Amino acid sequence: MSFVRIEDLTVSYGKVLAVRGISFEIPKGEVFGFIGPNGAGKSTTIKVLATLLKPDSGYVEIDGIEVPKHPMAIRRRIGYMPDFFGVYEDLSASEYLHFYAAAFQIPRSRRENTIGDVLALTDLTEKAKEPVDSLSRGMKQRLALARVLLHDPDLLLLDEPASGLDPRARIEVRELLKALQGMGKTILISSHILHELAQLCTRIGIIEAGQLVTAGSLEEIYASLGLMQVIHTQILNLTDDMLANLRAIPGVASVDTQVDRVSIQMRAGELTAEDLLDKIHSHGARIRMFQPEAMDMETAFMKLTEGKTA
Amino acid sequence: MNSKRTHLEHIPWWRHLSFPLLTKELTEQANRRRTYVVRFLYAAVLFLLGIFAIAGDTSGNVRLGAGGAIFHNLVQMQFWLILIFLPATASGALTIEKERDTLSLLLITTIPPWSIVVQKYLSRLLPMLSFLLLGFPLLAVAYSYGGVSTNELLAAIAMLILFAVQVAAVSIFASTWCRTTGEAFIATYLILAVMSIFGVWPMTHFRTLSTATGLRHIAAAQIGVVLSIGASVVCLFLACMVLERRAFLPARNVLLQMFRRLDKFYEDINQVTGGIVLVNDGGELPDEQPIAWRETSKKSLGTVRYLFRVLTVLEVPILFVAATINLSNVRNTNSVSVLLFLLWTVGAAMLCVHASGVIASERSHQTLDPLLTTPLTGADILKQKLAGVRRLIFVLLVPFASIFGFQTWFGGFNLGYLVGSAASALIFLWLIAWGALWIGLRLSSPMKAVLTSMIVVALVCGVPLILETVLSRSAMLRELWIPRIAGSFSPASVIRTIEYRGQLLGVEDNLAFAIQLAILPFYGLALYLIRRECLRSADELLQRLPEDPDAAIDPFQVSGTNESGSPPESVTLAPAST
Repeated sequence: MSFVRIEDLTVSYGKVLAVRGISFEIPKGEVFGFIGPNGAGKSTTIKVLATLLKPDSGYVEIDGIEVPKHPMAIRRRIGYMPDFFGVYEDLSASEYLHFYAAAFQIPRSRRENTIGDVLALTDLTEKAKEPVDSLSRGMKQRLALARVLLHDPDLLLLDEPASGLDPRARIEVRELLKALQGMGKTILISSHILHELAQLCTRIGIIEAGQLVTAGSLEEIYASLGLMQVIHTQILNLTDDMLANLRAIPGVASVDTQVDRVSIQMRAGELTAEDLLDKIHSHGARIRMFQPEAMDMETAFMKLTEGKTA
Repeated sequence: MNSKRTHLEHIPWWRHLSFPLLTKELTEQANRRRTYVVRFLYAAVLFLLGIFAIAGDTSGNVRLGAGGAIFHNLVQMQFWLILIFLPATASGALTIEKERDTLSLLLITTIPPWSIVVQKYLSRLLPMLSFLLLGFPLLAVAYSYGGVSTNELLAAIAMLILFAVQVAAVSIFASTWCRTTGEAFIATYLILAVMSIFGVWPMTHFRTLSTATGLRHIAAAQIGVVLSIGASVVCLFLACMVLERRAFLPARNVLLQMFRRLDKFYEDINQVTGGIVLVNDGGELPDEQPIAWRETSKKSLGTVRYLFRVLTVLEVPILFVAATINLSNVRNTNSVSVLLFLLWTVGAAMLCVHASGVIASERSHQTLDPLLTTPLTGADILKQKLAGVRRLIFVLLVPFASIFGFQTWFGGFNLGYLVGSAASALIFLWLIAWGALWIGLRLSSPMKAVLTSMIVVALVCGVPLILETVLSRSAMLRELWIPRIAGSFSPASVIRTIEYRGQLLGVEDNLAFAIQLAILPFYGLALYLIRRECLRSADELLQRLPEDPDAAIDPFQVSGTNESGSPPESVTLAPAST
């Protein structure tokens, strides 16, 4: 059953139509990546789910509850992190979390423990007493993540959580999101940094000019576009016969030999990396390295979008 | 930087006179709706006041030859309008670029700093000069009545232009020096105040030039004019000098810094008494009302110690004046009344600043959205947000009560006065607070919210009085008491009439006093309606989804949450797999 369901959602700001009939579903426990250029309608869609915007038309539901009709019930189930920090600079990290713990009506007796847990999870325990304005951007972002976890929401709405962060802070946030995924949280995360989502999301939706261009798992999208996946391998006993056998495997498009490796291009959807490994092994190959290349999301994105904005 | 300088050295100076920034600024202004609204407002205020000045309370025949007085009134109005409108537009010229992080982009272009300053300066001065042109038809009407010499007319035009040049230069300097538009706005008025004290003030020179006969006076005025021009040039020169140096100032809260320095000073002094602390702000953590906690323990105008300082500043002059009156032989309570009017001005300004900013500042700091996704109701958010304002009102009520008490002591017990005074203080202070909050909810910029609130307060006080003046011209309406009734709707009139109740002797005055008291419930009703509108439409005003009153399904029974609406007991942060 879908935890989040959006059907034919339309949102406008005055005369500007920001979202034009978007529909998608997110099952419970899934990490859904929302990809699109700036001004595509990602933040607007997330704001509708976060009860901050009223849709012009369409149906929006979280956990079986219609969002526009029961916003208060929705607020207890979601954790929303906007694309800016949204932290009070005049408080310490601990005071900031106590502030939101009280706002989410967490009983006073449980607050200390809960705040200790989220600080530990976000690796901010050492910084609990520090003023927020003294924290680095990465720490502020982790603090904002700690805030959305306070009331243990089922759904996390994260609007560009890694934007403006340095590589280290970005990796830290990504690892944190993986941990949350492990906890079974349903996560809707938007970004325009493609490889970031490729490493994290179970499904993605590509949005452009307020319309959903495509949605599905990465493999499904690659298959629909006829994109190739590349596997780099080192075979110790490589011979011409073995190369011929590799080229004959169904689903393999081409095999290129390079100085230190063999690059195998295979058609996504017809063959998986695991099956290819089994088949190479069955031909008697002694494998030293087997490395699938990260899917080329940028190619997919460029193929699917035209650079329009809403 | 060196390469930039080298590059610039090859560009002839006249190439910088193409003024691309000025063109862009004027085009931007022309595209903004606000430009036309401000122009309309300026013209409306000018012509409205002009009509009063020209019409007065005399007939057309009597005005012949009386053009001089009308002319001087009109010129004075123009001066005041320049003083009000120009800092509002010019003090943000460069601070807006700093706030948007776009000044660095300007500085790396080939436009030299002096040219940036000059272009920004002209972009604010030229529209103001076009505003001045709007007033010239009125001056022509006054001139046609006679009694104004050509020299006076020319002196007026020259002084008005000179004043605009000076105010714009001061505003631009403040804008280059300060980090935020708010700071620049206040700094502009402070610098102008200092200039006026030292006589660098074209308003004064105009009076001297148009009335002086002796050579000494004329020479003094001419020196003043030279000083005004010099001050403008110095301001622009300083602005060019500091533009680059102060382009990347970190954001800071000036008020908070000032209070922190004051804190340190008091703490140092407190060592003498052994470091006794009577009230400790901010030690506690929030209990059930987190927003109210932050407003009263973390905000400059919400904490007990800062409010105590405000109270001291307001109360000490009242006690001093009261003690002086008590010791003197003749008890003239006029000075206490003056203090009351000053207290109202300061109190209204403080409430406008505080109440209009509580939501607008959250919006500008981008902290409102996370707050709006918490399960606090919109009405609760607003009520808690006003916790600091509530404290400020309680603090303001102390000096008000002192004044009312002293007036009763000196002037004798008068139940009507006491009830009227107490009711006016309670109603008007809360009315300003809720009205400013409502304005702040509708505007995104704190600066705009504060200015709009103050303008609205000024209009509510001023418009009924203007109406009274206009309607008084008709004898028939005067007989029906309509002008008096119209004027009575001004809160300023209410406060003044109640305060001077001791001087009301005749039947007519007692009737006026009764009318003023009867107006109070009207404002009480306005307060009730504004408060109800704010609380009822809180979610819409805060810009989030309101609860649908017609929603039939109980969402708490769908899943998860218990009946009381609180989250489930167990908060699990361990991975689901474990």
